[in-house]
Amino acid sequence: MALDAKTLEQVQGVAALVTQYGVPMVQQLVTNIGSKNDPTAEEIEALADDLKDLDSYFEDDPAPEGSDPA
Amino acid sequence: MLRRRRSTFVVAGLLVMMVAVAACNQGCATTTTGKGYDVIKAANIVLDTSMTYLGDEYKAGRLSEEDRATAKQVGAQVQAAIRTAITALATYKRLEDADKLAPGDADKLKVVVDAILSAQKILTDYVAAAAKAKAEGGDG
Repeated sequence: MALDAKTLEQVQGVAALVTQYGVPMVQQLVTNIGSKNDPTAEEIEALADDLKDLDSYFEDDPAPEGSDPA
Repeated sequence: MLRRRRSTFVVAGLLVMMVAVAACNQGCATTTTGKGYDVIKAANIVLDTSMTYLGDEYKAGRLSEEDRATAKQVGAQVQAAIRTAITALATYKRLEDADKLAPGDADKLKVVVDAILSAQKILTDYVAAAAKAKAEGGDG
């Protein structure tokens, strides 16, 4: 696999960070890919269920000054 | 310092995932649908991790309304690419099951799935930029 210069730079940076901060989270991320070699069409479509409403990530905003939680 | 470490950790995780996704695009699963599934699944995780991080930063008051709008816009681009790829991959799988694939269908699918990686790159670049700006200006 050929890597362009920027990707190579990122890989080198990541390698340094992984060395510095540890690998468990990285391992978990990669493991969580949950590779399927022959998924069904239904399993593929089910991936859409993982997509959340983007607003939900920003909910529970700090209450603006003077706001009434009502 | 702790916040800076967390930012770095999140960005590092995302970058590793990006590289893993790019690598998987060329050879984790061995079937076309398997490779596509892996890329989409990983893209979901990258998107969720990125948006969770950005949402946490916003809720902590470290991202502005403008940043939030940009984050949502970029996230929406990734979601659109993911949804398109899901539809394309499911269609491809059904055609494959019915033995009705035409020559070149796999190449068309690859173009759609690769679009996720492009959209995702914008998102991870944005997260990295946000984390960098915070690290440079938020240690005081």
